[in-house]
This record gives sequence, structure tokens and C-alpha cells, in this order.
Amino acid sequence: MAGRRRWPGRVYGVGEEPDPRFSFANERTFLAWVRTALALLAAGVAVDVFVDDLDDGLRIGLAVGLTLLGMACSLGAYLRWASSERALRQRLPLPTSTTLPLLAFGVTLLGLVVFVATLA
Amino acid sequence: MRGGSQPPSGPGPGLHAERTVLAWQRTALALLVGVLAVGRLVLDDLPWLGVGLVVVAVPLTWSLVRLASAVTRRPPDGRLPALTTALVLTVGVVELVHAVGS
Repeated sequence: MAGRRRWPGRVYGVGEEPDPRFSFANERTFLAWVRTALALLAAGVAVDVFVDDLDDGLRIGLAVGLTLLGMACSLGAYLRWASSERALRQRLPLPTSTTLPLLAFGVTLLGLVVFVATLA
Repeated sequence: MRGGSQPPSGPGPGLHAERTVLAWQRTALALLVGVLAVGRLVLDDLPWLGVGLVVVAVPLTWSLVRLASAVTRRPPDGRLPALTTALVLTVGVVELVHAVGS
């Protein structure tokens, strides 16, 4: 791929090529997050389409919450991939994940909402 | 295969490359299924959105499926991750419009 500039320059314009195994592992981590995001989107679609016995507002809120959480995971996955690849190229420590606590908090919160709604 | 320093001992990145290709393929296929499912879902309530999603996102997602097979034969690049993220966000936006609007 001689002559083709790699994108983004913010990632590939610094440091040097890392061990390819580390780049592959970084990509596979990104893809695992994307599949998590798709699962959350699928859950949002399922709540939107198949759940009939919840209050409309709660159903829509749950569907929106799951969808937004999935979108946040996807965006967080890309940002983490970019910052990790940049750190690998510069032989710096890998950045901490902000998506992981977001996912844990989000799923817990939505679960609590469903739990309270079921009891009410 | 991509450039980069060889590890001091042990096998090369061969198996890692294969695992990465497989991960790309299953993610791209899952994304294709998601795009088609959401497109079909919104087709009845918001036909313009469903058609738009299918017309725009399905060819891009199918390209991703094909590119995923060759992902380790070129230097790593941020275009595929960015395209993947953009497609997931597009599906999410369409679902949000459907959930709130219908």
C-alpha cells in the first residue's frame, strides 16, 4: 500500500509500528465492543417492537436508553481503539477505559428501572 | 502481512491475523443483519427512513464484509473502524427516530 496515507494522522503520524500482535489485539477489542453495542441496539429494538405490557412512556424510555447506551459503546470503542493504537506506537501505557464503567452503570440503571417498574 | 518488529521468540503473528480476520467478519455480518433488520422494522412506519437506510447502509455494510476478509493484507488503517462505528451509529439513530416517532 505504498503511497497511501494512513488515516487518521493523529494515530499513525506518531511513534513507530508496534508489534503487529498488539495492533491485532487492539482491533479485536474494538470489534468486541462493537458487537456489545449491536447487542444493546438489538435489545432496544426488541423492547420497542415486542414489549406490549409496559407503560408506553417506560417502554420508549427503555428502548431509547438501550439504544443510546449501544451508540455510546460504539463511539467509545472507536475512541479507545484510536488512543490505544497511539499509545502502542509510542510505547506508552494503555489508556484506561471509560466505556467499561459507562456500560456497567448504564446496564445497572436500566435493570433497576425495569425492576422497579415490575414491582410497581 | 503488516510490517512491525518480530517478537523475540515464539511464532509470528499468523494466528493473531487469522483471529482478527474472523472477528472482523463476524462483526461485519452481525452489522449487516442489524442494518437489514432495523431497515425492515421501520419500513412500515417510516418508509422513507427504511428505504434510505437500506439504500445507503446495506452497500456500505456489504463492502465492510468483503473488506474484512482482506483486513490483514494491508497496513492497519483507521478507515474500517471509523466506517464500522459510523454504521452502528446510523442504525442507532434510525432506531431512536422509530422509537420516539412511532
